[in-house]
Parts: sequence; structure tokens; C-alpha cells
Amino acid sequence: MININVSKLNDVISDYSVLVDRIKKNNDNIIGNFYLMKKNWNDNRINAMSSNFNKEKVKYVGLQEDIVSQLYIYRFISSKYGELGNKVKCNLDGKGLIYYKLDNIISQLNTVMWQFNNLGDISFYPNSAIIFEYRDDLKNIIDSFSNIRDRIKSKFDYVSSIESTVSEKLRDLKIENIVLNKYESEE
Amino acid sequence: MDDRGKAVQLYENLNSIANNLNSISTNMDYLNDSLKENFMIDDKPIYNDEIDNLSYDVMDLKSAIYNGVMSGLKSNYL
Repeated sequence: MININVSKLNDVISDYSVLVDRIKKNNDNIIGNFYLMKKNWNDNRINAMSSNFNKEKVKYVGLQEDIVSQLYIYRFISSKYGELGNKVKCNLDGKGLIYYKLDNIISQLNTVMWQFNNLGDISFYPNSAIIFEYRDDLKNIIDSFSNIRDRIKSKFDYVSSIESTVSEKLRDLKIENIVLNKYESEE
Repeated sequence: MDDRGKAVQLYENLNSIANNLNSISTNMDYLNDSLKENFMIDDKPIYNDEIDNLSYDVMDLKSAIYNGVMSGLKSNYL
């Protein structure tokens, strides 16, 4: 079950943005500080450290980029689900059952329409015109229900499309498990 | 077929329509229950009010058939 609270998610995103800015700043400071240190300390040891530092730097920057990408994903989720409402609960596994029920009702309505069109000779009945009015009412019900069915299906499609985009974006992230595990163990 | 025979046939056909409409209205209510379990926006099943209103429209149509033509057929022909 997908369960999204957009306004609360936005609060977290706002805090997360501050943290991401802090990480970027810290990384820039560490990198800048190292180069500053190198200007004032020059020997074989610092040269060896410099080679390791470059590897570390690539790692820091890569992690930083993934954390920023994570933030984009949170923003994407919030903005897309926000178009539906503030609180969204959706079970995509239930889609098949809902579609079956919708199509079944349409089929039942069409059966009744067929019955109206095959009532036989009704001319004997003085107020037979009213039966045609009933049939018109049914036609309006079928049109309205078909419209609702299409809109429900389109809402499910919309959520499916958000979820598959999020899955694709998450697949591209390379946040190291060791980092995630570290944070999870601190919870 | 005389008018009474036609009236019997029409009554039976309309009775079947009314029963089917009853079943449709019930299925619309079940649909709302399923949407409650599977798709809620802002604490309400999606299109809840519209489906509810259509369910009432179906029941209104059923009542109109019962109380209109079927009642007329019963008192005048059957």
C-alpha cells in the first residue's frame, strides 16, 4: 500500500534540503582545507596522502551527488502525489479487482439497456412514452458511469507511472549500503 | 397476443430490469467499499460522492419503474 502524506513529506524535504546544503558546504571546506594545507606542508608523506585524498574526494562527491539525487526523488514524489491531494493511499495490487468491478457494472448497465431495447410491443400501454424516458435516464447513467470508470483507471495509471519512474530513479542511485546501514543502526 | 398478454410480458421484462438495477446499485456500493480499501485521497475513496449519487440515480430509476409503469400495468391489466 502506497501511503503518502504530502504536507508532512514537504516538511521533511525542507529539513533534508538544509542538511544537503550543509554536506555540500562541509565537503567543499574539507577539500579546500586540504589543498590549503598542501601549500604549507610539502614532503613525500603529504604527496602520498594527496593521492589517497583524491580517491576519497571522488567518493565524497559521488556520495554527495547521490544524496542530492535522493532529494530530487523526494521532491518528485511530493510534487506528483501533491497533484492528487494531500493524503494519498493507493494499493496498486487492488487495481485488477477495481477494474473488474467497474467493467462488470458497465456490462450490467449495457444488459439493462439491451432489455429496454427489447421490451417487445409496448404500444398498447397508453403512457408508453415514459418507458423511453426511463431508457434515456439509463443512457445518462451509463455515460456518467463510463466517465467515472475512465477517470478511476486514469488515476491508477497515474500512480503506476509515478511508481515506475521512482523505481527507475532509485535503481540509478549508488548510495553505499554501508552508509545507509550506519544511519539505520543509529535510529 | 392480446393486450393482457402483452402487459404480462412487459411487466415481467420491467421486473427483470428493476431487479438488475437493484443489483447494479448494490455493486456500485461494493465498488465504493473496494475503493475505500484500495484508493483514498484525503481520507475519502476516489469519486466516492459521484458513485454514491449514481447508485441513488439507479435506485430512483428502479423505484420509478416499480411505482410508474409496473404499478399501472398491475392495476389496469393484471
